[in-house]
Amino acid sequence: MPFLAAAAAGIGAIWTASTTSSGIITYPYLATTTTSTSSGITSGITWWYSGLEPNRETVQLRTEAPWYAAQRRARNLLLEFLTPLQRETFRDLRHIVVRGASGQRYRIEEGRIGNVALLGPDGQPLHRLCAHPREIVPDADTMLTQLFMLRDPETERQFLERANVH
Amino acid sequence: MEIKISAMDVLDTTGHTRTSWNRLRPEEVESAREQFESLVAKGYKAFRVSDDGVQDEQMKTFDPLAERMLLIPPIVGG
Repeated sequence: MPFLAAAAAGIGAIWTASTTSSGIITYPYLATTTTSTSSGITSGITWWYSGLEPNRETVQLRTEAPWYAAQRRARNLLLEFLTPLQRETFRDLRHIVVRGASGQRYRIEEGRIGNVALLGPDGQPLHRLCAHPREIVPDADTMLTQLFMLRDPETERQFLERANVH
Repeated sequence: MEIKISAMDVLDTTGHTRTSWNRLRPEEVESAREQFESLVAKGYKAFRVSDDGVQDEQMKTFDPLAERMLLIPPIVGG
């Protein structure tokens, strides 16, 4: 559906968004052109452009439905790679505990930023590590990326080199 | 014709995208190899995984006999 509706009320304007079939929200914008008539009167024509605004960075926001579907798909995939205990912990506490290839234990919490904690011998966090996929992916994909990196010796080292410590 | 299916899950904005191919069909294997190599060149890490979800070793090169792979995106410090 290329465009739903746009309306102007007096001087103010009501902005409405439309959703394309690809799940991108586009915003109409108000454009004004002026024309001089032979009588010297300037008339203004105001119109709505129903499409992506060309003069500013294109606004692209995901609609909720595809994003929720992506989160669900990512969560299902994550669950495939968890042990029964990790699944239970994730279900109840929204985090998983993993032993890295180096033997260190980490707690990966649901989230994206600073969601990995290095655990001490008593199971308490020593500090937080922040490294995540460059691309915006669902949180469960972020967790799966961190889980796989931490369990492999080479990628655990890379993760620790890349991560900011908080 | 016998069918031996392999699958590659690539984590992305949709949750993941799965590519499947018949290991006995060379053209499908080559297509999967191209995708694998393109992603690894972009910084993705590939891991062989078993059907029951157990992580195996990291894969630096495409293995046409691998039954399942997971490709994770490059990371940045936050």
